[in-house]
Amino acid sequence: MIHDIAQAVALVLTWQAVLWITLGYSFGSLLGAIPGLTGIVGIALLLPLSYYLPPWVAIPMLMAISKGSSFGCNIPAILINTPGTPAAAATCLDGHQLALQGRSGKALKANLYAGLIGDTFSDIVLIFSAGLLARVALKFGPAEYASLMVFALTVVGAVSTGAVIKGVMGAALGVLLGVVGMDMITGVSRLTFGVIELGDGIAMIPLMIGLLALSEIFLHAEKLLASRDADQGRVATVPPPRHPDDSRITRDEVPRFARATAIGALIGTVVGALPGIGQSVAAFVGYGEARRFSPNPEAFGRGSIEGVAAPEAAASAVNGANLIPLLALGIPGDVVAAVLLGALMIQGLAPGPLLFEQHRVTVFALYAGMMITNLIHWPVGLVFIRASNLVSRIRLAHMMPVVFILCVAGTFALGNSVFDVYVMIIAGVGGAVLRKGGFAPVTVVIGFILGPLLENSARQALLLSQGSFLTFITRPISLFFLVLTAASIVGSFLYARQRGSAAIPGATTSE
Amino acid sequence: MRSLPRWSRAALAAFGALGAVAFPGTGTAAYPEKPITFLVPFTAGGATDLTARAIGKVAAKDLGQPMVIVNKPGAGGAAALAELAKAAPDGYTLATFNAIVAAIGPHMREMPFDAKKDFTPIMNYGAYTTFIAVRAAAPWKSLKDLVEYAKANPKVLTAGISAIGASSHLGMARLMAENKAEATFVPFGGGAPAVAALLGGHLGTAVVSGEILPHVRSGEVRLLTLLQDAKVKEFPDLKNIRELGYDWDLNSWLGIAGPPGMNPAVVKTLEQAFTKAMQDPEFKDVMEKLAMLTIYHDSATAKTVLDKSYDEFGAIVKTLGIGLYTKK
Repeated sequence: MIHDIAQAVALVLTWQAVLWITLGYSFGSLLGAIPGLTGIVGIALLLPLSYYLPPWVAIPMLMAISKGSSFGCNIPAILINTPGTPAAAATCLDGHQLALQGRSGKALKANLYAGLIGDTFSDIVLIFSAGLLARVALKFGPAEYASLMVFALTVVGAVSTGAVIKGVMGAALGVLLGVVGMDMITGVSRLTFGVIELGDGIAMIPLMIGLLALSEIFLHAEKLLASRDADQGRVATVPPPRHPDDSRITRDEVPRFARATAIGALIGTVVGALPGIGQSVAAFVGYGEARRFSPNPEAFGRGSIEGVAAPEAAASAVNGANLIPLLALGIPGDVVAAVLLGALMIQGLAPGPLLFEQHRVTVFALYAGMMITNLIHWPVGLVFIRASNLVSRIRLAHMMPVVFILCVAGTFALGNSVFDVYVMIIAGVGGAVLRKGGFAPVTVVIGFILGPLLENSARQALLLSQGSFLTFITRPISLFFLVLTAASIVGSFLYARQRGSAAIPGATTSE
Repeated sequence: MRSLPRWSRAALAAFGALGAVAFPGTGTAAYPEKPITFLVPFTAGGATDLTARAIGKVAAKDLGQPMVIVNKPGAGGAAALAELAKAAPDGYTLATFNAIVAAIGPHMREMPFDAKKDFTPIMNYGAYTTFIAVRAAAPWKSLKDLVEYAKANPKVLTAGISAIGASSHLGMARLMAENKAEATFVPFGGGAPAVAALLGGHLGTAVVSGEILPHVRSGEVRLLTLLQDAKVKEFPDLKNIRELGYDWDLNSWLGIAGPPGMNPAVVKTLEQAFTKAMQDPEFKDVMEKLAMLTIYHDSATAKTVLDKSYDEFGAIVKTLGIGLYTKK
């Protein structure tokens, strides 16, 4: 055993391996920093190259792209409120608020360290208990998934900027958009109006970029055009820090940061171990739970360091945990894992129960490569934060047109489809209208992601139970999540009443 | 160090990854004189994409022009094929073409093309596998046991499939119908989640592809049959559907096609290049590792197979009353 580990580490600790992983990580961070481009594009680009590398370099390098991009996409999200992935949308809820207060350095560092901790934590869990956890994850059938999604939906309350009812309406709109396309259970097309491109439904990334990033650009443009003040055109992307503490995590903040990060890392690891859910859900649930367990939930949505740490730790933890079902069972949890599965198979490492027996040293080497990625994450992340300080001085009036073009180019690159670009632009207009009406477009994204997951799992569960709804309460794990959901709703009502406020639970008063 | 050449090859490939792998100027014929666009209607990194890249890479060497792989997923593969149907038939636009998109898809939803008329099949190089699998602990030792159970207990047997209208669904449905048996089909949006549900004990059987094989090797899952008329080298005892006495099999072919009205000489050049590429050890290796079946149809056969499977799948879809034949 020790001999195998030593051999594995020796394989990975070569300058070439470290170089490739660093390149992968930096490439991913750069791609991620461009709204619209995600890690998956980078992985697809470098996939052919990975065949020429030994597996313990190829797989960590591909993962490094994914890890890098999930860090990188938070930079524009925090600085200019233009998230490129749903996970970044969760991070920028508070990250951008901090940036507006001149605390972008603090937000970016919280993001970096939370991500680093989340990644490392889930990698360690993967290394020590992949086989066991994968078995536990199999206990989750459709009924359990459905109840988990019901629970996840309660996060809508936590992210609504105005009244919770507006959050619910936003989520309902998201669910409606989510049912467009072929119904998985019956194979019937729904709400496609004969448009071929809608056959698979509305693509998530273009919709999300439109709703969140493009709408931000539109609102800035409106502000700039409406303003007669010439100075408006000279406003920097984010205000400069007023105090050195604005650019770091202070000692007072460490306990709050640590608690939120721990909550996020734990949730991300659990969600990542369950195939088919993904980073977006982990990030939002991480945000919601950190808020629930926070001593000062009021600060969420107004620039809470916890609100940055929790979703980022959760999203990052999914990276490592996704490999639990992938390596132990050959079941990819998301698109990135699906590509990794292809890469592993081409390398002759068919994932599954026998992988650990037949390719022990290679698997250990792969783990070592992932740990090296985490070590690289730190310095490269700091370089990126330094660079983003320069970016943040660029005038908004110069920045926004560039971001607009990047959004268009990135969206097109995703699926080589002009239709996706139209979707993004329409969603952008829609997002701007929603914001004007006091709705948080991010609730639409949550509904869009969770709605179909819930619908499909619930209907699968009903098919399996011959139509009996009892399946949701007779199965213990499913019942657990339903009870948790009920407790969370009742709890937030009681909390609101205790506060003596007339405010609807989960609402932060709108301005 | 043995690994050194690998590193330098990787560096070379890095340049290739930025554009396409270029092998300029070795061809003598007039065609091809510029890079060929090769549309893949699925995301990069999936099994279909990986085999297309493998065969495209070898054929490009032979043709003396690079193949630019363009992944254009969307609308269940229809987006890429719609583009192909409208492309100039000059041999510079090709696409991966398979039974799922071309022979089943048009029966499931309105497509912007006529699959029988709007393409020129160039050749077929492979086929997807479809296994009927149960847990090792399940009482069904053979396909006959499973079918008899489904016959005696209508709709009680739950069968995990990737999607309604997927070849796994149509194959299993045909099997059930022929035996007057009934199963409850549960779509999972992909083979892997169906495998997970089978392993977790949530399903009676799963009708899936190569993703089940690791669990067969580990002894947790038993295969009852393969729905294609083929043998799997690794499991010589596994009887396919024809060996079990049925007079049909699931024709889930995978190949390459161009736009309608291509010059026969160009088709011939391409057919030869791709056929030759099938002999390449690297391509063979990719097919084997991805648990794909290797078959070969030349251009004329590929056309016949397309027409035949289009009608066959259409008949099954119609009988099931799904897709375009859903009762309103």
